[in-house]
Amino acid sequence: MKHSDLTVPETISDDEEVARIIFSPSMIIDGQVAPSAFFMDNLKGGPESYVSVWRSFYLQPTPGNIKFGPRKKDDTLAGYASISVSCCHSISYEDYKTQIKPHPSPQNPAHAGIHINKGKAAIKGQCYDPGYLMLAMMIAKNCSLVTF
Amino acid sequence: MTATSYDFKIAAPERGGRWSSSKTYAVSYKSAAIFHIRTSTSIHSANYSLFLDYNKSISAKESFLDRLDKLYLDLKQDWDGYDGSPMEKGAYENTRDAINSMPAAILADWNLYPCPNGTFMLTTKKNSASINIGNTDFSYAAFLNEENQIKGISTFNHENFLTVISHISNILKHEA
Repeated sequence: MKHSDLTVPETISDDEEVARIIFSPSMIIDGQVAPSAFFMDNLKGGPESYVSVWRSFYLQPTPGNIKFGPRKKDDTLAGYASISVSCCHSISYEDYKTQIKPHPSPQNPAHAGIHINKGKAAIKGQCYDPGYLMLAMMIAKNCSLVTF
Repeated sequence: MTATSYDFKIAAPERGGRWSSSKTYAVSYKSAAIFHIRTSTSIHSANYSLFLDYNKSISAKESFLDRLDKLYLDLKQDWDGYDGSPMEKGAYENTRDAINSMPAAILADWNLYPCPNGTFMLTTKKNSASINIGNTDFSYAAFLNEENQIKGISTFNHENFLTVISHISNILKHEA
């Protein structure tokens, strides 16, 4: 079955889990995922506005269905960090809050994003604020890790 | 990697005699490891324990520095699959300084990770504290509960870094 054949409801339920694909093994040590796996970056096309995740209830990441181009010889895909939507939404620090929104694409109808707000302002791209670091640390701490 | 000299005390035997005298030697950590293998069965237990701690701490620091070097050299554009940036030279040098300045006993509780923006992150093994080290500044956050937490951003230098490490260690000593 191709990803594009999936039927995925637009509304994201609190019962769902979302998975952050971890491409680089350097982001994992002793079963812990790096808080930096939940950082956003300034890309060539503009600053990222959310942390990309999969709605794993509808599409479980596997080495077979993740588009992965080895970056060097013997490069491997690491796995994914999974967190429940309700848990992720419960994580906040001071005026930092998270919200998971659907971002379906033709290639991946189960694509979604963890959006991070500070008060009413959406965080986009690189953020060095310690409050964001605290939030990323809390998300990482509440994830369970699946390695391939 | 350049061998560094360390001074430490170890009981050394007279030729054919007992382990009786305590002397100070300057030994590179690489030769210390060899020296350890050759003498470990004979060293007095107390000194042996000190020597083991010494070797363990050097080994922990060395393995951190090796990982740092590897991350700096290996991670090119898009290393994280999300178009992440290569590691920054200034961040690498500051992180090297940070690791060298951390007491080995404290360093043992931390992991080292790369960040998509080219900085390096030190995080405790229980993900209770993190320090993000960049080219000029470092940000930090530690959280156990409402009463035991700290966060901030500061210019990177030895004094500021060690002050933060000390504050974080004080918070984390309450961690179960």
